Order: sequence, then C-alpha cells, then structure tokens
Amino acid sequence: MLGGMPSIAQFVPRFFASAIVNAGRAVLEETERWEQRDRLAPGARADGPGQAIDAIAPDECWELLAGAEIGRLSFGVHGGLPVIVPVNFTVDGETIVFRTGRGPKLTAASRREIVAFEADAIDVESRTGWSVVVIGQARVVTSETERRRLDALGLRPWVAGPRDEYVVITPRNVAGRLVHASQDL
Amino acid sequence: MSFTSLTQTECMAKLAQHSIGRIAVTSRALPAIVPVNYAMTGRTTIVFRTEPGGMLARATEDTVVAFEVDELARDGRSGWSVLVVGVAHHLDGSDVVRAVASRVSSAVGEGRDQFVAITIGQITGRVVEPTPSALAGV
Repeated sequence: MLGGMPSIAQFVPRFFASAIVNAGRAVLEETERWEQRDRLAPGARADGPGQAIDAIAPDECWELLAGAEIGRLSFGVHGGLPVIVPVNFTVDGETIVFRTGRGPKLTAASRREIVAFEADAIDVESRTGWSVVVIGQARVVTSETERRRLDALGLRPWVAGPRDEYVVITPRNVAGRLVHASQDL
Repeated sequence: MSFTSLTQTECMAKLAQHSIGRIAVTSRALPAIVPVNYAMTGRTTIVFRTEPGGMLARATEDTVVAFEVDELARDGRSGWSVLVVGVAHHLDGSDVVRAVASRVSSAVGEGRDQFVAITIGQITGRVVEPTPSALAGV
C-alpha cells in the first residue's frame, strides 16, 4: 500500500452491496446487451452510448483466440478485490483451457466463479488491433479421462509441478471488437 | 520458468514507461476486461479516457478496479506484468483534465471525453524468467 492513499477497504462494502442488490436483473440485461452485440456483423457499428464499437463475429472471435497463447484472466480474490493475471491458454472446442497450481486462480475455479478472460493483439504505435472478451464459468477438471484428453492439447503450464490442474472456462458470452487509433482505445 | 517479484518502485517505472493497459471492472454484476490507452499523472494516478455514459464510464464511478500492464513473450515464458488495484473515479473539466489531456491521446470527433482516474491503492509486479529446463523445451 502506498503511503497517504485512501484505503480500498472502505470502498468495498458499497461496491459489493450494490452489485448484489442488482445482480438478478442486471445479469438478464447484460445478457441481452451482449446478445445484441453478438448479432452485429463484423465491422458493423452499434449506436448509442457505450456501443460505438466495431464488433467481431463470434466465429472470428474463436479464430483469433485460437491463434493467441496469452490471455488475461480477471476474477475476485478473497476479500473481494479484483485482479487481472496473464495466463497461457488454449482453445478446446468453444472453451478456454489453462493450467494452474495452488493459488487464487485455482480457488476461483474451484468455486466455479464467473470470470472474465481477455485476449488481444494491439500494436502500441498505431494503437490498432483486436480484443476478445469471454465471460464464463470457471471449473477445475477433476475427471482423469478429461485430464488425459486435455494433456493431448500440449498446453504448457506456467510452472511445471505435480499440482498443476486444468481449469476450463465455459463461455456465457463472447464478444470481440476491432481497436482503431481513431477510437482512442 | 521462475517468478521474481518487482519492487514498488520498479512497478511504478513500468507503468510510467507504457501506454496500453487492461482494466477489469464489474458491469451489471458481470466481470469485464477492456484494453485502454493510459497515461500517468503524478506518481499515483492512472488516467484514461472513454465514452461518456458508455459501459466503461458507468463501471468506473467511485469503484474498485484492477488494472494490468504487461509485456510478455508470445508464449508467455518470459516477460513481466504489473497489477494495480485502485479506486476509479471520473474527472471533470478541471485543470487536472487539461493537464493530462495532451498526454492521453484523443480522438477528435469520437466523443471519448470522459476522463477516468485510477488512484493506485496496491501495486504488485513480477518478472517471468525461463529456467534452463524451460529453455530446453521441457
């Protein structure tokens, strides 16, 4: 913690109280919004506040994901603070798979949390590229049969060890957008 | 492959040297990650701009967020990442905005004129280095 800064803890109760109260209705609204976004043709622009995006079609999102090796995973950790961590991953069907040892990622997955996963390729100079976000439920693979099948994917763990587990994210929403310099990210 | 922690000073230096990061927010009870173009203002504040009233603007009003910057080899076996947890809030048309406006590249006509500041609460970082066995392809 840097000196002289407001404590994050004081903001957390308000943050989560409002999130929980609105959760049921909000999930439905958000799902509709993402479905609308998914219906957009590649390159099409949605109108209205917050929707000025160049959407990428779901099939293309999966192609982009399949060609990437590094993504970023976001979830809540104990105490409620959000984190983003890079993971190397692979695509298996229409799921995201990564390996992890004991730690916050495994804990989140064992609780079957809803997580966000993002992969992108953005050129720093031109600030152009793409970004795909998957929102879905994480789970730890416990079946030996499934483990053996995933072993064949050749996914390399960050740090090799006997406790490496497979985590699978089953998407609820997949949304991609093209990033243009003119959009100022 | 091994991980080494970065010091707070090293983490701040990484933030200052880069311009693209990813912010994690909660939007209508669901998590989201958005890449943003950012600049530092002072030692402890990250500033970026977004569309007024958009998803990101709505999700960054006095809210705890995570912000990440990294530079990783394509296979993830070397590089570094820095994670910030902080409180996001909207900036208005004050001197602060004018001061940072020139540093957070703009998009004329795109209307992305909502400035958002993240006050850094916690900052951590790590370096990933290949171990000999990793280099050998194990």
